[in-house]
Formats: sequence, C-alpha cells, structure tokens
Amino acid sequence: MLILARKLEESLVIGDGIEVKIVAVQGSGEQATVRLGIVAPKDVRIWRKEVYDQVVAENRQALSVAGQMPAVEQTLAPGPVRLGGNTMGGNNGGLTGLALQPRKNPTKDANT
Amino acid sequence: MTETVLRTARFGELAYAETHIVHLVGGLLGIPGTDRVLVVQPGGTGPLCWLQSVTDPALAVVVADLAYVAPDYRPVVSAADLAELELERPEDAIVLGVAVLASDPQASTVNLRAPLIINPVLRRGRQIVMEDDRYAIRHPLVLPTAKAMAAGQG
Repeated sequence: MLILARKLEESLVIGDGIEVKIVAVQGSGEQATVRLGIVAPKDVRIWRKEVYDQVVAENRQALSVAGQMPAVEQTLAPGPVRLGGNTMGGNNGGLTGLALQPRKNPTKDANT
Repeated sequence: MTETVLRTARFGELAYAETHIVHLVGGLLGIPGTDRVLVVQPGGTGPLCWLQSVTDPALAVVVADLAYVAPDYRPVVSAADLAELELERPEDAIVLGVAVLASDPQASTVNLRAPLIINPVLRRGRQIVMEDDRYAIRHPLVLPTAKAMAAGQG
C-alpha cells in the first residue's frame, strides 16, 4: 500500500480525473475523523467500504441460498403479478413483458 | 426473432431473445457474471422473480419487486445514476431488492439499502448503494397476501 502524508487542503490526484482532498481533520487518536472531498468522473462510483462489503456479502449470501433452494414457486406467495405494474406512482410497461417462463411449466405456446 | 437456448441449472432450458436481456451495469456488486440477466417468473411467485445470469448458467438469484413488498419505499437515486439509466425520475424505474429467503418465511430478508434500479424500456439497470442508512440491508421480507396483491393491481 502506498502511504502519503497530506496536510489540510492538500489533495491527491488518482489516475485520470479523480481528486481526493483533505477538507477537515477533527479530533485525535482513535476518535480522529478526516473529512475528504472527492472529485471523480460520473461513471466512477464511490462507496464507504464497510457498507460496500456488507452489500457484497449479502449478494453472495442471496446467491448461495438461492442455489440451494428447492422450487419455491408453488409455496412462497400468491399468484402471478405484473412486475413493475404497481411502481411508485410511475407509469411504465413493467418487467413482466420480459419475463420468461421455464419450459417445465407447460404453456399454451406449445403449438407455435 | 432469433432465440438462444440457455441450459440453466435451475430452470432447465430457457429460450430467450436478445430483447429479453436486462443489462445490469456493474452487475450485482461483487458477483462476476451478473451484468446480463434474464427475468424468470415461474407461476405463483407473487412479487418475487428470479434473475438468471446469461453468462453463468449456475447463477440465479431471487429478487422482490419493492413496489409490492415495501410500498412506502422511496429510494434515493443520484443524478448520475438517473442519467446513466436515462430515467427522468426514480418513479419511472422498476425497483427490485435482492432477497435472502429462509426456510422460516418469517426470517426472509430483502436488501433495501442496495436496490436494483431498472429502466424497463431500455432494459438497463444498476445496483445502487444508498448513502444514508435509513433502509436496512436485511429488511424483513413480508409478502403481501393474494387479496392485497389483487387490490393493488391496476
């Protein structure tokens, strides 16, 4: 890991168009807080690492649970709905137009 | 329309066209192979559906349509994310939460902190992470009853 010393109001430039500035330093020791100002291109997403790590862990957990799951289709929930058909005051076509049915469920398109 | 058959671990053969693919920019965070997915909704899943990876036949995850399972939910979507997805306002998006289903339904959770924001017209979406911690990563997943679902439709 590269370690650099910076003073208040000093910056770093990372690659093309990312700048990290020390905006404020408060407190000392383990209570110290450093406020950073970050300028980055729009397509660069910035996350607090502990939150990002939790999201990644939760995604992995969801995949792992889903991988072990028996068919939930019949047991979990009430009948088919129009996905996105009830979005928050918005008006769109919903996802159901895209949704695929597994072939193991015989459907009326058998004669096409 | 040219159809491709994907031999999946969970659903057997899925026939899909290019126009079925939803592009998740950056994929599910930390999960390679999830940037192109198919929406699979077997009968009777209610507000749940599956996202099946096109690139990895073994990868499928359950997501919940948050308009149904968290009706008062208002995700905060940054201007950069709205622009990337070509959405004028978050209300025009389909908002899905990654679900972790437990054998005890009371223990199932859905991620409200990092929802998938999808433009259904472009079929382009992104998993965002909200700055503030008002919404939980493990929010209890309560599935509405059939009656409530019927009343909410239309």
